Amino acid sequence: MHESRRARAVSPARRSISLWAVALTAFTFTVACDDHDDSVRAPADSGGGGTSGGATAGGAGRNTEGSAGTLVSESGAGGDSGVGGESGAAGDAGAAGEAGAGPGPGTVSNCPPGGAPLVVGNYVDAGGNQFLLRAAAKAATFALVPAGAANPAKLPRLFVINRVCSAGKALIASDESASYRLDFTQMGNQLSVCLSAPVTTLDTAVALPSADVTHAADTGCAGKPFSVYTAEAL
Amino acid sequence: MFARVLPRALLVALTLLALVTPVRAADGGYATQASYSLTLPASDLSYTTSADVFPGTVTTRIDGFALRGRFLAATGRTIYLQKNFGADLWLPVATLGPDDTMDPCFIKISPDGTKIGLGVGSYKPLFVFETSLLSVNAPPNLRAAAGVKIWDENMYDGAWRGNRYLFINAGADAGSQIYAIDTNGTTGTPIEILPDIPGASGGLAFDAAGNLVTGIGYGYGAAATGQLKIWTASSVDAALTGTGLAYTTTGKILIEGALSAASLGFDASGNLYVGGGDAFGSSGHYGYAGLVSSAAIQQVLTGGAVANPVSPADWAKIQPDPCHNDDATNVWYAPSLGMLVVTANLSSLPPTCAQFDVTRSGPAGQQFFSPDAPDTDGDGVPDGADNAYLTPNPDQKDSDGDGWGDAGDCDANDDGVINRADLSALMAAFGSATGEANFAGGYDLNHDGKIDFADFSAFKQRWGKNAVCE
Repeated sequence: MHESRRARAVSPARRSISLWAVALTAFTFTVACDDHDDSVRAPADSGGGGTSGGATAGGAGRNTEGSAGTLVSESGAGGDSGVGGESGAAGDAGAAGEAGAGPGPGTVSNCPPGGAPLVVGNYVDAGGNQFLLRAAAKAATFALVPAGAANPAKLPRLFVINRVCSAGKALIASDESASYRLDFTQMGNQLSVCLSAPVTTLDTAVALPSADVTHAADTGCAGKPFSVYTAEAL
Repeated sequence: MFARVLPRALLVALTLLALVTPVRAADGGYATQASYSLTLPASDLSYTTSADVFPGTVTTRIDGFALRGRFLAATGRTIYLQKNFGADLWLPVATLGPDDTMDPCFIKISPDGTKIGLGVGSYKPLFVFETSLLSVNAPPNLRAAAGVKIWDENMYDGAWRGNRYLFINAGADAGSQIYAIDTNGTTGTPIEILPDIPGASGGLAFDAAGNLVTGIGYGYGAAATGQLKIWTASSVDAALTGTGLAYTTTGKILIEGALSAASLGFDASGNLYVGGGDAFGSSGHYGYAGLVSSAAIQQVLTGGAVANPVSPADWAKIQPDPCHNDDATNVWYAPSLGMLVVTANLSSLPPTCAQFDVTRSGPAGQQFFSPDAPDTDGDGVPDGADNAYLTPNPDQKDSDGDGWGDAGDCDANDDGVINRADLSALMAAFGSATGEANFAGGYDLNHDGKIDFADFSAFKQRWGKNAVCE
């Protein structure tokens, strides 16, 4: 019974990606480009928590592989914004520091097929950490890339986008082991994002309340600021 | 009745035997397969380039690069690792001192792949060092690196016997000699093996059983250029314990007039390959490499006739040089790839062939393959020449010239490192499968025909490291 529900849930999600990818073609904010000079960026320990508007967002993450971590605002000890505790899923994907799951200030989103977040491109935060978003023929993805030259001790994270929610203002995505909700808001060439803590299924991620974009600058992301990225010039 | 039937049955049996037994041929089947060009590194500091191939059993990686079947080459003051199968791109992995140069006599990898012997020239030092010392990211200076044994030796060619003894062929007062060095020791003291070879040095090699082959590179007096002799493993063992061998009274003549009896080795079928040339001698044998059939060798070892250099059953020519005018071909063999590489000096080419290309062997080579050479991806290009041996690419297209075929190229921006540009390329191909437009085989790192999180996991293992696309 459970399996059949999941099977039904996946199908519209796939359709949504396809439609979404088409829409992205028309509304691409910045065009994806390859980085031909990773080395010029100052090394930074991206595992040390996110940044928001240039301000350090929180304490060191627990992610042992030094994942980007900058896209998310850290939930700290949890509960300080009434969004529940830490995910407890720290590990390979650097899940530590992500917003806590559970009821929060936002509302549960509608995640119908279609819609477009209008944000395909390359973004970088004040610390040099990067947020890449792609809409390719077979899958839409985003990635968090630690600042500085590629370093085996600081691994990137990759997410496949499964659904687009809230008229293109949120994404439901998954990595190798978990699902997430990504809320974001855009002002000019700045993109503020909030990644949820990991949850076990896509349906659970869809059911997560939205982050509070009206407080993106301070407490909107599980009590912390959204992470702020700027579109990279081509 | 029985007497009448028996001869007839015998005749039938012999006829059937003749039908099922292939005609003995010395060519090893190499001539029946496509061959591919290969250019070894060159240096203005050296006349020549020497090389060897890592055994197929080696599992070691050097800064991400698997050594199995890869070439190691030495010239100038640098040792290079071949970047990829079939690639003419060479990565420095060690150097000599700033004042050193070499006209390398040999670079030889021990059978287990863990040790390397480098003879940098006649009356120049012999370097013996661990393979693990090599580095793509930070090539060590062998003069200064810890653990490198540097011994003053006289040398022309070398060959490992097991992983302990390095046998060396060198000039002597009245000809040449063979001695051994215990590379586990600290002194490099020569152990006399064959002190009285009546001619200039040829090459030397051991077959799988440990039998020694050497010969006369250039004949003095009655000694014949290109004579090859073979000594049994037991006699070599005895020599190692102090009972030296006499050239003229021990061993068995294998063949006469085999070029200059240089650049010797055995392929997986037990055929003996021979390089060199005798342009300065009277034999007229030059401009090709040769192959003595394993059957002919066994025939000699069991007391039969000397191999016949004009019989195709005993001796075959391998000719990478279209002018057939090279005096010093070199040959190397990669057992795991079923690959024979012959280099020749191609300083002149048709239609303006010089009478001789008499300088030392140049870096232009040709890869020949045995009929059973592995072709892992089944694309018709044997692994040893395949720039994407795990991904079918019969066209071998390498648009960016980085040595990784397009079908298996994981280095999107050709900077040699797996980084953001490669992640971006992986994202563009994510979710695709073989045959689809955006499939990029170089990022199908687990070679299952689709690009997914399993590949991203493998990708993360390479993040920030050398782009090794295999």
